[in-house]
Amino acid sequence: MSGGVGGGAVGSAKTPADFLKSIRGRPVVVKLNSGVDYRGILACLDGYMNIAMEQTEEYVNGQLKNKYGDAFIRGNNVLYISTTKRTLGDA
Amino acid sequence: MARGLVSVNERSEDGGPFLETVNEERIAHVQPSVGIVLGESPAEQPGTLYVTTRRLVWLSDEDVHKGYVVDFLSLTMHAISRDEDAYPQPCIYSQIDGGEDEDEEYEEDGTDDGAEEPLESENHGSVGDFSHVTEMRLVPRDASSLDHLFQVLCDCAALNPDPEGEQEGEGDWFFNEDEVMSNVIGGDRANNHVDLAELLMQDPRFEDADEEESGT
Repeated sequence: MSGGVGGGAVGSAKTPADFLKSIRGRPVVVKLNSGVDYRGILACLDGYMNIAMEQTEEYVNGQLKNKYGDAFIRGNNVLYISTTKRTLGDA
Repeated sequence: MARGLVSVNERSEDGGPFLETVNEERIAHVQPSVGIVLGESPAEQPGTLYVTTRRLVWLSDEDVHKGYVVDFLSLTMHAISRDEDAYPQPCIYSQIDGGEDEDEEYEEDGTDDGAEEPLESENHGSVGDFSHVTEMRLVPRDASSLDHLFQVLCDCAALNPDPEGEQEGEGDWFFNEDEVMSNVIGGDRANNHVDLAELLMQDPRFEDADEEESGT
Protein backbone atom coordinates (compact mmCIF):
# COMPACT_ATOMS: atom_id res chain seq x y z
CA MET A 1 0.00 0.00 0.00
CA SER A 2 1.42 3.34 -0.85
CA GLY A 3 0.39 6.54 0.78
CA GLY A 4 -0.12 9.73 -1.10
CA VAL A 5 -0.59 13.41 -0.61
CA GLY A 6 -2.34 15.70 -3.04
CA GLY A 7 0.00 16.91 -5.75
CA GLY A 8 2.26 15.05 -8.10
CA ALA A 9 5.81 16.25 -7.66
CA VAL A 10 8.16 14.32 -5.41
CA GLY A 11 10.53 15.91 -2.90
CA SER A 12 14.13 14.94 -3.24
CA ALA A 13 16.02 15.91 -0.10
CA LYS A 14 13.38 15.44 2.59
CA THR A 15 12.82 12.12 4.27
CA PRO A 16 9.41 10.76 5.10
CA ALA A 17 10.10 11.59 8.74
CA ASP A 18 10.64 15.23 7.82
CA PHE A 19 7.42 15.23 5.89
CA LEU A 20 5.53 13.77 8.82
CA LYS A 21 6.90 16.41 11.13
CA SER A 22 6.08 19.19 8.73
CA ILE A 23 2.41 18.42 8.34
CA ARG A 24 1.61 17.91 12.00
CA GLY A 25 -0.78 20.52 13.28
CA ARG A 26 -2.07 21.27 9.82
CA PRO A 27 -5.59 20.92 8.55
CA VAL A 28 -5.76 17.79 6.47
CA VAL A 29 -8.19 15.69 4.54
CA VAL A 30 -7.90 11.97 5.00
CA LYS A 31 -9.65 9.89 2.41
CA LEU A 32 -10.41 6.27 3.11
CA ASN A 33 -10.69 3.46 0.62
CA SER A 34 -14.41 3.52 1.30
CA GLY A 35 -14.62 7.07 -0.01
CA VAL A 36 -15.30 8.63 3.37
CA ASP A 37 -13.43 11.87 4.11
CA TYR A 38 -12.18 12.95 7.46
CA ARG A 39 -11.19 16.57 7.88
CA GLY A 40 -9.41 17.90 10.88
CA ILE A 41 -6.12 18.93 12.38
CA LEU A 42 -3.44 16.31 12.06
CA ALA A 43 -2.06 15.35 15.44
CA CYS A 44 0.25 12.54 14.47
CA LEU A 45 0.66 9.62 12.17
CA ASP A 46 2.98 6.70 11.74
CA GLY A 47 4.52 4.66 8.97
CA TYR A 48 1.42 2.52 8.69
CA MET A 49 -0.60 5.65 8.02
CA ASN A 50 -2.43 5.28 11.29
CA ILE A 51 -3.66 8.80 11.84
CA ALA A 52 -4.63 10.73 14.92
CA MET A 53 -6.44 14.00 14.38
CA GLU A 54 -8.34 16.62 16.29
CA GLN A 55 -11.51 18.58 15.58
CA THR A 56 -12.47 15.85 13.20
CA GLU A 57 -15.34 16.00 10.80
CA GLU A 58 -16.59 13.02 8.83
CA TYR A 59 -17.91 13.59 5.32
CA VAL A 60 -19.76 11.06 3.25
CA ASN A 61 -20.43 11.97 -0.36
CA GLY A 62 -19.42 15.48 0.46
CA GLN A 63 -21.93 15.82 3.28
CA LEU A 64 -20.96 16.37 6.88
CA LYS A 65 -22.16 13.35 8.79
CA ASN A 66 -20.41 13.42 12.14
CA LYS A 67 -18.16 15.53 14.29
CA TYR A 68 -15.66 14.16 16.71
CA GLY A 69 -13.00 15.55 18.93
CA ASP A 70 -9.92 13.38 18.77
CA ALA A 71 -10.08 10.62 16.21
CA PHE A 72 -7.84 7.73 15.30
CA ILE A 73 -7.99 6.20 11.84
CA ARG A 74 -6.52 2.84 11.07
CA GLY A 75 -3.89 3.12 8.40
CA ASN A 76 -4.83 0.21 6.22
CA ASN A 77 -8.04 1.98 5.27
CA VAL A 78 -6.39 5.22 4.28
CA LEU A 79 -6.18 6.03 0.62
CA TYR A 80 -4.44 9.36 1.01
CA ILE A 81 -3.78 12.30 3.24
CA SER A 82 -3.88 15.77 1.77
CA THR A 83 -3.07 19.07 3.36
CA THR A 84 -5.68 21.67 2.64
CA LYS A 85 -5.41 25.34 1.98
CA ARG A 86 -7.74 26.01 4.88
CA THR A 87 -5.77 27.75 7.56
CA LEU A 88 -7.04 28.15 11.08
CA GLY A 89 -5.65 31.43 12.24
CA ASP A 90 -1.98 30.70 11.62
CA ALA A 91 -0.26 33.83 10.33
CA MET B 1 -8.82 -10.80 7.95
CA ALA B 2 -11.02 -8.41 9.93
CA ARG B 3 -13.41 -10.51 11.91
CA GLY B 4 -15.74 -7.79 13.08
CA LEU B 5 -17.64 -7.86 16.33
CA VAL B 6 -18.40 -11.20 17.94
CA SER B 7 -20.22 -12.04 21.10
CA VAL B 8 -18.66 -14.08 23.84
CA ASN B 9 -20.36 -16.04 26.55
CA GLU B 10 -17.36 -17.16 28.56
CA ARG B 11 -15.02 -15.41 30.86
CA SER B 12 -12.15 -16.43 33.07
CA GLU B 13 -12.40 -17.15 36.78
CA ASP B 14 -11.38 -13.66 37.75
CA GLY B 15 -14.27 -12.27 35.76
CA GLY B 16 -12.15 -10.96 32.95
CA PRO B 17 -11.75 -12.18 29.40
CA PHE B 18 -9.77 -15.20 28.32
CA LEU B 19 -6.54 -13.88 26.88
CA GLU B 20 -4.97 -15.38 23.81
CA THR B 21 -1.59 -16.32 25.15
CA VAL B 22 -0.40 -17.42 21.73
CA ASN B 23 -0.55 -13.75 20.76
CA GLU B 24 1.03 -12.68 24.04
CA GLU B 25 -2.11 -10.77 24.65
CA ARG B 26 -2.21 -8.76 27.84
CA ILE B 27 -4.63 -6.31 29.38
CA ALA B 28 -3.66 -2.69 28.86
CA HIS B 29 -6.58 -1.01 30.59
CA VAL B 30 -9.72 -1.87 32.49
CA GLN B 31 -12.60 0.59 32.56
CA PRO B 32 -15.52 -0.23 34.85
CA SER B 33 -19.06 1.06 34.46
CA VAL B 34 -19.13 1.26 30.71
CA GLY B 35 -22.21 0.96 28.54
CA ILE B 36 -21.96 -0.41 25.04
CA VAL B 37 -24.08 0.65 22.10
CA LEU B 38 -24.09 -1.49 18.98
CA GLY B 39 -25.39 0.29 15.93
CA GLU B 40 -28.69 1.91 16.72
CA SER B 41 -29.56 -0.49 19.51
CA PRO B 42 -30.15 0.77 23.03
CA ALA B 43 -27.18 0.90 25.35
CA GLU B 44 -26.34 -2.28 27.19
CA GLN B 45 -25.05 -1.63 30.67
CA PRO B 46 -23.49 -1.82 33.06
CA GLY B 47 -20.40 -3.58 31.90
CA THR B 48 -16.65 -3.56 32.17
CA LEU B 49 -14.40 -2.70 29.29
CA TYR B 50 -11.11 -4.53 28.94
CA VAL B 51 -8.67 -3.07 26.47
CA THR B 52 -6.06 -5.67 25.60
CA THR B 53 -3.08 -5.44 23.34
CA ARG B 54 -5.12 -7.30 20.71
CA ARG B 55 -8.79 -6.67 21.30
CA LEU B 56 -11.55 -4.68 22.89
CA VAL B 57 -13.63 -6.78 25.26
CA TRP B 58 -16.84 -5.66 26.92
CA LEU B 59 -18.28 -7.96 29.56
CA SER B 60 -21.66 -7.41 31.13
CA ASP B 61 -21.62 -6.89 34.87
CA GLU B 62 -25.07 -8.40 35.22
CA ASP B 63 -25.01 -11.35 32.83
CA VAL B 64 -21.86 -13.45 33.04
CA HIS B 65 -22.68 -14.99 29.70
CA LYS B 66 -22.92 -11.74 27.80
CA GLY B 67 -20.01 -9.99 26.25
CA TYR B 68 -18.66 -8.63 23.00
CA VAL B 69 -15.23 -8.70 21.48
CA VAL B 70 -13.73 -6.84 18.57
CA ASP B 71 -10.12 -7.09 17.54
CA PHE B 72 -8.12 -3.99 16.67
CA LEU B 73 -7.65 -5.27 13.15
CA SER B 74 -11.37 -4.71 12.70
CA LEU B 75 -11.51 -1.25 14.23
CA THR B 76 -11.23 1.08 11.28
CA MET B 77 -11.43 4.15 13.44
CA HIS B 78 -12.30 5.33 16.89
CA ALA B 79 -12.97 8.83 18.16
CA ILE B 80 -14.17 10.85 21.08
CA SER B 81 -17.73 11.91 20.50
CA ARG B 82 -19.09 14.82 22.51
CA ASP B 83 -21.64 15.76 19.91
CA GLU B 84 -24.95 15.54 21.75
CA ASP B 85 -26.83 15.45 18.47
CA ALA B 86 -25.11 12.20 17.63
CA TYR B 87 -25.40 10.67 21.09
CA PRO B 88 -26.54 12.27 24.32
CA GLN B 89 -23.59 11.16 26.42
CA PRO B 90 -19.90 11.65 25.74
CA CYS B 91 -18.51 8.40 24.45
CA ILE B 92 -15.97 6.65 22.31
CA TYR B 93 -17.42 6.19 18.86
CA SER B 94 -15.90 3.52 16.66
CA GLN B 95 -16.40 1.90 13.32
CA ILE B 96 -15.95 -1.79 12.76
CA ASP B 97 -15.01 -3.62 9.63
CA GLY B 98 -16.71 -6.97 9.63
CA GLY B 99 -15.01 -8.05 6.46
CA GLU B 100 -18.06 -7.27 4.38
CA ASP B 101 -17.95 -5.78 0.93
CA GLU B 102 -16.91 -2.16 1.29
CA ASP B 103 -19.58 -1.06 -1.12
CA GLU B 104 -22.00 -1.77 1.65
CA GLU B 105 -20.31 0.68 3.97
CA TYR B 106 -22.22 3.66 2.74
CA GLU B 107 -25.03 3.72 0.28
CA GLU B 108 -24.87 6.10 -2.58
CA ASP B 109 -27.55 8.36 -1.24
CA GLY B 110 -25.31 9.16 1.68
CA THR B 111 -26.99 7.15 4.40
CA ASP B 112 -24.88 4.67 6.27
CA ASP B 113 -25.95 1.07 6.40
CA GLY B 114 -25.05 -1.08 9.38
CA ALA B 115 -26.32 1.43 11.88
CA GLU B 116 -29.81 1.02 10.52
CA GLU B 117 -29.93 -2.74 10.70
CA PRO B 118 -31.90 -4.02 13.68
CA LEU B 119 -30.29 -6.46 16.03
CA GLU B 120 -33.46 -8.12 17.23
CA SER B 121 -32.74 -11.09 15.02
CA GLU B 122 -29.62 -11.86 17.02
CA ASN B 123 -29.61 -13.81 20.26
CA HIS B 124 -28.25 -11.50 22.88
CA GLY B 125 -25.98 -13.30 25.25
CA SER B 126 -25.23 -16.33 23.12
CA VAL B 127 -22.24 -16.78 20.90
CA GLY B 128 -23.20 -15.15 17.66
CA ASP B 129 -21.99 -13.33 14.66
CA PHE B 130 -22.30 -9.60 14.93
CA SER B 131 -20.17 -8.93 11.89
CA HIS B 132 -22.89 -6.73 10.44
CA VAL B 133 -22.41 -4.26 13.28
CA THR B 134 -20.43 -1.37 11.85
CA GLU B 135 -20.76 1.21 14.59
CA MET B 136 -20.12 0.90 18.29
CA ARG B 137 -20.15 3.38 21.13
CA LEU B 138 -18.53 2.91 24.50
CA VAL B 139 -20.14 5.11 27.11
CA PRO B 140 -18.22 5.30 30.37
CA ARG B 141 -20.12 6.51 33.38
CA ASP B 142 -17.08 8.66 34.12
CA ALA B 143 -16.87 10.99 31.15
CA SER B 144 -13.59 12.41 32.38
CA SER B 145 -11.97 9.08 31.55
CA LEU B 146 -12.63 9.50 27.84
CA ASP B 147 -9.36 11.17 26.96
CA HIS B 148 -7.30 8.47 28.62
CA LEU B 149 -9.44 5.71 27.19
CA PHE B 150 -9.07 7.20 23.71
CA GLN B 151 -5.30 7.28 24.08
CA VAL B 152 -5.16 3.69 25.29
CA LEU B 153 -7.13 2.64 22.22
CA CYS B 154 -4.70 4.53 19.99
CA ASP B 155 -1.72 2.89 21.63
CA CYS B 156 -3.16 -0.60 21.37
CA ALA B 157 -4.39 -0.10 17.84
CA ALA B 158 -0.88 0.86 16.83
CA LEU B 159 0.30 -2.49 18.20
CA ASN B 160 -1.81 -4.26 15.63
CA PRO B 161 -0.75 -3.46 12.10
CA ASP B 162 -2.07 -5.62 9.32
CA PRO B 163 -0.05 -8.82 9.16
CA GLU B 164 0.57 -8.46 5.44
CA GLY B 165 1.66 -4.88 5.83
CA GLU B 166 5.25 -5.29 4.66
CA GLN B 167 4.63 -5.03 0.97
CA GLU B 168 6.36 -3.04 -1.69
CA GLY B 169 5.46 0.53 -1.10
CA GLU B 170 4.85 0.14 2.61
CA GLY B 171 6.12 3.27 4.31
CA ASP B 172 6.85 5.07 1.07
CA TRP B 173 5.56 8.59 0.97
CA PHE B 174 4.89 10.66 -2.06
CA PHE B 175 4.29 14.28 -1.42
CA ASN B 176 4.31 17.66 -2.99
CA GLU B 177 7.06 19.42 -1.15
CA ASP B 178 6.12 22.87 -2.43
CA GLU B 179 2.62 22.53 -1.16
CA VAL B 180 3.77 21.34 2.23
CA MET B 181 6.59 23.80 2.73
CA SER B 182 4.87 26.86 1.32
CA ASN B 183 3.08 27.57 4.58
CA VAL B 184 6.14 27.17 6.76
CA ILE B 185 7.28 30.43 8.27
CA GLY B 186 10.73 31.10 6.91
CA GLY B 187 10.47 28.26 4.43
CA ASP B 188 12.45 28.93 1.30
CA ARG B 189 10.35 28.16 -1.72
CA ALA B 190 13.13 28.98 -4.13
CA ASN B 191 15.17 26.03 -3.00
CA ASN B 192 12.36 23.56 -3.09
CA HIS B 193 12.85 22.85 -6.74
CA VAL B 194 11.97 19.37 -7.58
CA ASP B 195 14.07 17.40 -10.02
CA LEU B 196 12.01 14.37 -10.74
CA ALA B 197 14.41 13.00 -13.31
CA GLU B 198 17.25 13.12 -10.84
CA LEU B 199 15.22 11.31 -8.24
CA LEU B 200 14.21 8.57 -10.66
CA MET B 201 17.77 8.08 -11.79
CA GLN B 202 18.86 7.31 -8.28
CA ASP B 203 16.22 4.71 -7.59
CA PRO B 204 17.43 1.21 -8.44
CA ARG B 205 13.89 -0.01 -8.80
CA PHE B 206 13.66 1.78 -12.10
CA GLU B 207 16.69 0.09 -13.59
CA ASP B 208 16.18 -2.53 -16.23
CA ALA B 209 16.08 -6.06 -14.96
CA ASP B 210 19.14 -8.17 -15.60
CA GLU B 211 18.72 -10.52 -18.47
CA GLU B 212 20.36 -13.87 -18.15
CA GLU B 213 21.76 -15.61 -21.18
CA SER B 214 21.34 -19.16 -19.90
CA GLY B 215 18.46 -20.68 -18.00
CA THR B 216 20.58 -22.47 -15.42
